[in-house]
Amino acid sequence: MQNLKRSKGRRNFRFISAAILAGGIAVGVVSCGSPSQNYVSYKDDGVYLAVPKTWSEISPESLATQEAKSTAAGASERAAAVKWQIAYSTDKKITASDVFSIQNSNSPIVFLRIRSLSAVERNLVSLNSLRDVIVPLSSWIDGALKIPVFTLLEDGELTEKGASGIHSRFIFGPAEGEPQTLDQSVLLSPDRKTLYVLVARCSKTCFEQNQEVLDKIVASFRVQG
Amino acid sequence: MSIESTTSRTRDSERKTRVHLTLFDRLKFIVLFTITLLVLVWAEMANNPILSFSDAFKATAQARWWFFPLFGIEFIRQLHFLLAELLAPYHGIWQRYFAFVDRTIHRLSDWTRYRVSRAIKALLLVVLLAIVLGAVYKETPVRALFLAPKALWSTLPLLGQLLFAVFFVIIQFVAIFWFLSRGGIDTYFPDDIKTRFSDVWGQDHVLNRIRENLVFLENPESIEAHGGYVPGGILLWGPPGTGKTLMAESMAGETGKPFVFVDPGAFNNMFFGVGVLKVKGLFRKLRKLALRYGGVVVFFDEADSLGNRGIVTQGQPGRYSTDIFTSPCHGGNYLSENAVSIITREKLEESKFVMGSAAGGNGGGMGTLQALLTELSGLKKPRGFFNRIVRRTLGMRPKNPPKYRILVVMATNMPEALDEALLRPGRIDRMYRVGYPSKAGRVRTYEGYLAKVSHSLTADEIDKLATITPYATGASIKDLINEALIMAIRNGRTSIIWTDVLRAKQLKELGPAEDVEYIERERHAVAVHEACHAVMAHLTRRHMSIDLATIEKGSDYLGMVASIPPDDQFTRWRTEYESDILVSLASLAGERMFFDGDNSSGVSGDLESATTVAALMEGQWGMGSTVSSYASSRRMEIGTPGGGKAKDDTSKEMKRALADRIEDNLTTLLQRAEEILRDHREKVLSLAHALETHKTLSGDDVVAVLEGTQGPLADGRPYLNSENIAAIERYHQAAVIAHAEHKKPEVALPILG
Repeated sequence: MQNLKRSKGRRNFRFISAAILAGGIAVGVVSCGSPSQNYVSYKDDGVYLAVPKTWSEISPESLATQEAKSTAAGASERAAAVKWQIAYSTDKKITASDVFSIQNSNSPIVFLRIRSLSAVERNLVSLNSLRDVIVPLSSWIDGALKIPVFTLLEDGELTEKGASGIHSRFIFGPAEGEPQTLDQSVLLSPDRKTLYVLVARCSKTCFEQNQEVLDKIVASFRVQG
Repeated sequence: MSIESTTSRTRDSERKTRVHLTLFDRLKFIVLFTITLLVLVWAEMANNPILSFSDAFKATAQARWWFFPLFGIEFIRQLHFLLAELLAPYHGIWQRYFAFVDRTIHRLSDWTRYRVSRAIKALLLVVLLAIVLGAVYKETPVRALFLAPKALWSTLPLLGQLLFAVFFVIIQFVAIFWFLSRGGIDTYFPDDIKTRFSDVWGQDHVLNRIRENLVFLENPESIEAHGGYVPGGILLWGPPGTGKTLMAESMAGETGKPFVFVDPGAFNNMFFGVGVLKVKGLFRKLRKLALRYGGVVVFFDEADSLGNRGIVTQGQPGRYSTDIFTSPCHGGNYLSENAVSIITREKLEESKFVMGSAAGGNGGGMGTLQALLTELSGLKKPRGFFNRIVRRTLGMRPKNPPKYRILVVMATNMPEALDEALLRPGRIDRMYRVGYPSKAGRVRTYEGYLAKVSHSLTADEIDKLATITPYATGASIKDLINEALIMAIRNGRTSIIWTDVLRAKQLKELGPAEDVEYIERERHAVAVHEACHAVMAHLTRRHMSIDLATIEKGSDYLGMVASIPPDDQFTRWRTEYESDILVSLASLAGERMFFDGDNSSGVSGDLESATTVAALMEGQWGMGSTVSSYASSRRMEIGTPGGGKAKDDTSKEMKRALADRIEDNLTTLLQRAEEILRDHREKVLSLAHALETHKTLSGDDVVAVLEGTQGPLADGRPYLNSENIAAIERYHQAAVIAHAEHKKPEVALPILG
């Protein structure tokens, strides 16, 4: 009787040790992988963004260098106001100049920019001014300005924990050639001192092809303040 | 369940496979690591709101890669345990390997290992701290270690306030306890003390034993190799001044090990727990010294101050802490009649006191004694963090504590005040009575002290001096020689002569004479009283000889006859006690006989000793008509034999009440004393005359007077002349009349030619 019990006890031990072994291996296997996404963050303002791992980065430094080359009026002031910026693309050939250009692109480009607002800018800021950060979207919407191709896909207010503003998605382009789709999230901090801009753009067909991943990127955008 | 299955737990050394781990022990580290990992993942997720669990887990796993080796090590460890539990040969190999590692490590001395393990532990602590600080400051661990004090400094005002608030009250107690638990313990290192065994005289038998203990302490293998162990405790007990502390001092000088001296009052304390702290502190120190020097001697002087938990703790009836005194070799074996009665009386009172005081006399107090008992012989548990925790974690058995070779020596002159538990073998293995030194010892002691002064004593005189000072101790001998030197200096000499020693002895034993001149009739009465004692002693007593007879008044006596044993005798017999009683009763018999039935109150002391001795003979020593011991009867409350009233029944007559029997015995002896004195009337009167003439007579003079020979001081030959005897008788008659009428005797003290 006792012997039987003991052997049963042994079986239990074997079972438990097997479980430990399995657990150990499982933990090992799981930990062998690396994160599926590239988590981009600017901790000072609590800004987060997840970009697929395969995408390549256009570094803040190259962006800054590119911006410094600009000869446009007020370009140097704007560059000085930038707190942090970064861009990503599926194509390694995309450079900083492509990011700042409004030219059509056949590869998706995601651009995140955080900049502070001057006192003058602060006075002028409104939801429409947020819409018009890149292109005169508000004028296009209300028809004050005409553009050959323009379709507004989405436009609405966006509220994050640390900022609020406008999220818009629209298709625009010249009369001939392929139009491009642009998704922009422009948020303003509650103290109206900081502007957060996330732009995801691509040619219309490209955007449709990459809709899922781009939606995911846009949805991952968080401003915690 | 068969009977065979109820065998006891197998010993670790007999086991072929490892003991099965419990489930908890199998899983605890895996669970711990997992929980820690999950906490880190959680922290990572809290840090980044868009992070998914799996990505957070992966990120954490990448950042804290070292978790996985830990998992791996634990996994291998569990696998190792499992194999050791299942496969006997595998377990055997590891056991042998660990034995080898242990042996290798043990090549270092215990002390070195202790220091090295301390250093490693400290290093480990610093490394852990550095890693934690590194995580906190997001710096490299080493840098963080240097940043930490800075951060501490910057937060100090707030921290300081908080700490002050919290610790203000506590710190006072801590400080008080810390200070209170200091002191009372002195450590002497070899060569600090110059005293050697050769400086202790007259206690060779004890010294030889102590030397043996020290030999074992110095060279423990000589007994441990044969399966024994080094005796750990010695109790030296005996009368004050017999050299117990000197012996301890010589041990300190003789041994190559440190010597720790514990003051008698070291454990006295005001607050609960301080004594316990002190004991623990003391033994921590002792263990440290024992490891470092391979052994240590600790000496508790006046160990009776350690206290006693009282009779309450002692189980059966009839066991007393005075037990050690009931051994046959103790008691009135060589004490004078006077001393015997005094000591006996005191002992009776003492034992009553011990019994009555119950849980009283608790010297150190409040757990101190118990702490000491535990430290002396408590559980031999493994000590040390590494030993107990780390080794167990690694699956190794904790090592037994190293052999702390601590020799405990205690000295006391009140062994009955010690707790019985303190005296059991294992705590105090050996008890030595440091008694009065033997005659050879006394001779050696006299020679030793005399060698330090200038003297003209011959070897024979020193021998005689040792004989006539039977209870001399080292201290009293030193004092006597010093007193003799003072006598010599007072007489304008720098060298001691024989009479200086005798005078000094007389002064020490009797105190200075009060220089009171008796009126004549009283002087005669005192002389007759003392002469009766002396004559009786001379005639009936063989185990004691007279040392001195005097009628010079001292502080607490009118006159006295002092006796000493001529040789060291250790048994006492009924006839000797009877003669003791006869000598005591001689004064009463003599006073009644010489003063027409009158007697003085001066016999009170004599009657007290006579009664005490008679009572002990009848009730305890089996020298009377009954056998049972009054001491046991009283203790067990079963009553004593006797009390029968029927007059004709002789066997019952024999068993009358104890007090009646004692009185009967005394009466019989008193009659015998009267007869003896009547037969030797001339001798009594002669000796009384010699005493009146010379005031003080030495033992030899007394013998000379009684035997009619020439003594050192008194000439006994005239007392053989019948005319002289007649003159003395006339003087006596006149003194008796003067005594009755309270006037000056008409006949002056005859001066014999």
